[in-house]
Amino acid sequence: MKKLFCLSCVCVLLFGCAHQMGAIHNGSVAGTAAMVQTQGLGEVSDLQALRSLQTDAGPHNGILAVRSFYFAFDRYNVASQDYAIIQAHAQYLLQHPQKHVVIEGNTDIRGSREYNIALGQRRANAVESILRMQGVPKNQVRTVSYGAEKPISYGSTETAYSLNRRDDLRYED
Amino acid sequence: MKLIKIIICVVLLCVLQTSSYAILNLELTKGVDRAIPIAVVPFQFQGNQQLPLDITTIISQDLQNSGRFKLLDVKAIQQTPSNMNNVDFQYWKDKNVDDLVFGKIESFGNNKYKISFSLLNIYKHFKKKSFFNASPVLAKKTYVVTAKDLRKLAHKISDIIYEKLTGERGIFSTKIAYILVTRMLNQPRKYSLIISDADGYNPRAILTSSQPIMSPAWSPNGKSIAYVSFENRRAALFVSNVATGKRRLITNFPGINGAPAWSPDGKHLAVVLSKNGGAKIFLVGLHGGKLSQLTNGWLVDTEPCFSPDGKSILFTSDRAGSPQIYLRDLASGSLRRLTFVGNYNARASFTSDKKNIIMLHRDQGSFNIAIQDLQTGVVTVLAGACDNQSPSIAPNGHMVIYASHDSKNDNGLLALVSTDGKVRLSLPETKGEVREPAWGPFNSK
Repeated sequence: MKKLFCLSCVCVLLFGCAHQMGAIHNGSVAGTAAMVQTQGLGEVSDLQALRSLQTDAGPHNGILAVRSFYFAFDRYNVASQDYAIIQAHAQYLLQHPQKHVVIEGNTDIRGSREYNIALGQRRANAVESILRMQGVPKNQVRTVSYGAEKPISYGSTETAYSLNRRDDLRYED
Repeated sequence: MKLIKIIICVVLLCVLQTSSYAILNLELTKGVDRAIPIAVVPFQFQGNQQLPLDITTIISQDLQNSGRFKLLDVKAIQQTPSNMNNVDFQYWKDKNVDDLVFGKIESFGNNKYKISFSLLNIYKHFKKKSFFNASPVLAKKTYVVTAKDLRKLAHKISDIIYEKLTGERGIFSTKIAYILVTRMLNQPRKYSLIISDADGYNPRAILTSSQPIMSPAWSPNGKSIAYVSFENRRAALFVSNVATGKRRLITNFPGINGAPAWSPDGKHLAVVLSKNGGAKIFLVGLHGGKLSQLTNGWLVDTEPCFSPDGKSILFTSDRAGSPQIYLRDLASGSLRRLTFVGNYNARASFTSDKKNIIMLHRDQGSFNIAIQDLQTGVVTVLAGACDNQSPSIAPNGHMVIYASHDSKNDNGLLALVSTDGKVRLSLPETKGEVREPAWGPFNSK
């Protein structure tokens, strides 16, 4: 499975895939990064962006390796299945008061750029409030919205759009 | 008939195109039906060195690309006058030319050039025998410049011709700013803030970053540009001096620092900050740094834009459930919603006569550039069919530049449309994705 994963990474890198590949997600795309890794990775064109999450100064064991949370079109409510993961990160931050996290909000490319900055900020704020509700102090969390400026997925398919509607949790030094 | 005219225009463009490299090449895709027929005779050159620039071609391209003129094919020109004495008016009348441009270039030593040109109205010559002595000469000027100012002079001559014949100020000497994003395989993305001539020549980057740059906004005097930079992995607002590249930090609060918009007197920036909760509009004094909050509430207010008289601010707000355009009077604080057609209207700006606004307007799922008549409320789509964004009006209020998404190549391009919808140009960009154009003011350097 791991070999297949690596092989598909290499294929994507070699052939610069910006087009739709593989199965289309049906139904809700608000889910976890695990879904991206097994099904959606073929559609992700900017693997560097994901890679940097996998190698940052934070925990990478088990549920804490999940760093991306996805949103429905024009929405900024966190999916119910993501709560447990975010709460696990909260526990980690409470146990490691020297660690800091930045929540990066993103949107798909459609619409006005600055309005998308505001939407991305709402998405980042949504994850931040879950962390804060768990007692994580303000100085350990910050948010930034990149709006539609840093897509990891290109193209105008619904799959491409859905992969960009997300928050990334990045641990900073 | 229209199709033939378009084909003629495109063919003329190909004929007139120089081999010199430009990153943005204008392609006229639609011109007005009643274009003014004009002939631009190749300027006569006297000198032993080769001219570094083809002034005739620059002037011809400027006039052609405005969509307001129909240029006589240079191949059909058998007479090449260089002064009033050898103008055969009947020849030009027979060619159905309304106006004639000719000129002379002389090179001196020391890299200097003396350039003179004349603009004649052919029709006026035939009306000469009247009580009022109507001279056919509409303009006649002489200049001395160095080689490096030749292109600038050619655009200035285009401006003079354009203004004399249309009554409108020409935009050929203005500048545009835009964001260029390049992504090579396996390379990290690179973002650049570029300033170029309005026709795409002389692009130069005033900032390059591995993180996004957004929302370039020209100061009213054209000397500075405000923009958002994420270079420290957070949003911050800067103002850079265009000539020197020197810059100053304006705001870097936690969260959003975005959408800078200059007041017409150049003393304030309207900006978007989320430091107090949701995205709200603030006013920042550029001398003294005073900050005041203009809008309130928990919903999103963004994309401020001052009216030309500086007394009110347009902005995008979703307080009614989805993005719409509102107007806030600065003195009274009163608020008025302007848009009621469609459920997504954003990024509005006034036309120079204040009678209309240009904005991003969603219609049946696609994002269009639209104009709304403020008196009647009627919304007209100027450019649709693609994913369009970020409209910016030229300082003469006649042309709008915007970003268009080329879904075939999955790339961002710049395009132009006139505010009456009649003229369309596209600027193909091959080196990367072009975003967020901002048209500079008349006296931009």
